[in-house]
Amino acid sequence: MLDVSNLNVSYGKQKVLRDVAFRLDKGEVVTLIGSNAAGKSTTLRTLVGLKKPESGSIKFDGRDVVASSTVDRVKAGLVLVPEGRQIFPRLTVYENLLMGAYHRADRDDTGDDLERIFALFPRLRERRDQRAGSMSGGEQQMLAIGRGLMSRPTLMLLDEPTLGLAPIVIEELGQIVRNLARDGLTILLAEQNAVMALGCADRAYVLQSGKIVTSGNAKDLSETAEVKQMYLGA
Amino acid sequence: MTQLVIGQMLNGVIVGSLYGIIALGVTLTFGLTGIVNFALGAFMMFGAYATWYLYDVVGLPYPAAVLGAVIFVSIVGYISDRALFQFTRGNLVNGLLVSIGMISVFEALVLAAFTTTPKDLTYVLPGALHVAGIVLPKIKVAVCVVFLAVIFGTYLALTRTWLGRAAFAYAQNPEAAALMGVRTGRLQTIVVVYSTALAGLGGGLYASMYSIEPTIGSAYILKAVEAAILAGVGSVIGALGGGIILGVSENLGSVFFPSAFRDAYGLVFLIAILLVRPGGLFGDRP
Ligand SMILES: Nc1ncnc2c1ncn2[C@@H]1O[C@H](COP(=O)(O)OP(=O)(O)OP(=O)(O)O)[C@@H](O)[C@H]1O
Ligand SMILES: [Mg+2]
Repeated sequence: MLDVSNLNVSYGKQKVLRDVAFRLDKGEVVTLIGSNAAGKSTTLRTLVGLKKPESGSIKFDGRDVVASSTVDRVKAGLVLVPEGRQIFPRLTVYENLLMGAYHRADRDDTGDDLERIFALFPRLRERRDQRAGSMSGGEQQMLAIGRGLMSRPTLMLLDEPTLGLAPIVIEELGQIVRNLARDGLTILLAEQNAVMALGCADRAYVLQSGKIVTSGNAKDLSETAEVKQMYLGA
Repeated sequence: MTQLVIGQMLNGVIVGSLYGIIALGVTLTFGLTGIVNFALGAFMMFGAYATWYLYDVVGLPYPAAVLGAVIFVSIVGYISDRALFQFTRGNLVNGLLVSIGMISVFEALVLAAFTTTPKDLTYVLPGALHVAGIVLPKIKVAVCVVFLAVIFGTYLALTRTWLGRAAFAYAQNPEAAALMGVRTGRLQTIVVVYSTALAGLGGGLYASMYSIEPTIGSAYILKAVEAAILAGVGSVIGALGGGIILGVSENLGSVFFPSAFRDAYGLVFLIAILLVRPGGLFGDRP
């Protein structure tokens, strides 16, 4: 479904990604783990076209999308739930969710999608008409994911959903990601929190200073000494 | 005395709604492009001259002349965006320089074409309404109603339509709006052009009440920027409210204090409000 090869990205003179390559099949949950400044966000931002790569290819459903605009990638089902939630603080929860459907041809007919999202996140239903900016961090993250779902993704990119959240909320998020996967959504999860990420994912790639250094089955990876030491605090 | 006060208040509301409609353009343009478009005053002046030309020289009926003027100003606005403003988006200083430069160019063009002699079309809608002993010129009432309707319509569009919601969302978080599939460049152009159209409409209606000269825009754009700040940048209803508060405080101020300083009364009010509410009066509303 997604096939990334030789991706090179720079900010000015600083090379941020070097020959990054990974792939993802339909129905998989794959995680990209890495510490601060490893290049996780840069990778995801490049995937959706917010950042232009210097070279490399991004094949999505067999088509190279490097030259496509963000709008076209969203329309194709490549949806990013950005780091730091990035909800619209002065819109209500409901209006935020509607914005997720903005690009859809059937955007005036979102009742079923809303129901599904409210079923997944009952707290969003309770806060439907509340200003999104007045919600807690965890609630905002759920809203960001809900808004992403409203875009009808075929591949959802999640950038550090656990950022700044309490352990109990992180646990809840892990459950949500697993539920989404169980319902058939393909997910690429960028995380620093390797425990959470490896607990959700089928496979994992480890990103270090802009390079993929290890990859493999999530279970196996969490057993390796290197990953344990660097990311699992063991 | 009470009649004078009430009369001046009404005048303030009318002038204030003109400030308001330009302030709305200021606030929308700033919210979406990061540009304080000081040239909106010049677009208003263009609208006034275009209306005068279409009405007096071409001989169109007044409403058609105003409509034609709005279309003309929008086209100029579109060309300005493509040729200039699109390159200064997100850059406050360059945006300011470009828009201030445009004022000189626009004023010079009009001066060259129509000289400094004031133009008048104050006989568009004669007569006055008498309400409880207060005389209200019909044209002023009509103008005020049109402004209120346009501002309220803009508010509805901004809160109820997809494009409006996208604009409001974009103002809050441009990148997130792009992630929703909003064509952000096009949205910015639409808003820049709509703002110039509002200014053109303001000018077209202004022409029916006061005589016009190439420099009329400058006072109004300053008032409009004041009104936008007073309201809290980004607020539609606030732009109207800010404009009206400014208009009324100027007009009332000059009843009780020397009218030579009328421009100062609104400013004093502005500063007083910003001391209490630094985000403006309506800072958190669409
Ligand atoms: N807009 C930018 N301008 C310049 N440099 C940037 C920009 N964004 C990211 N970088 C640099 O790129 C590198 C990778 O950043 P990135 O945000 O992709 O890391 P990350 O893995 O997502 O880190 P974190 O876990 O902190 O979110 C960093 O060195 C960062 O300083
Ligand atoms: Mg990041």
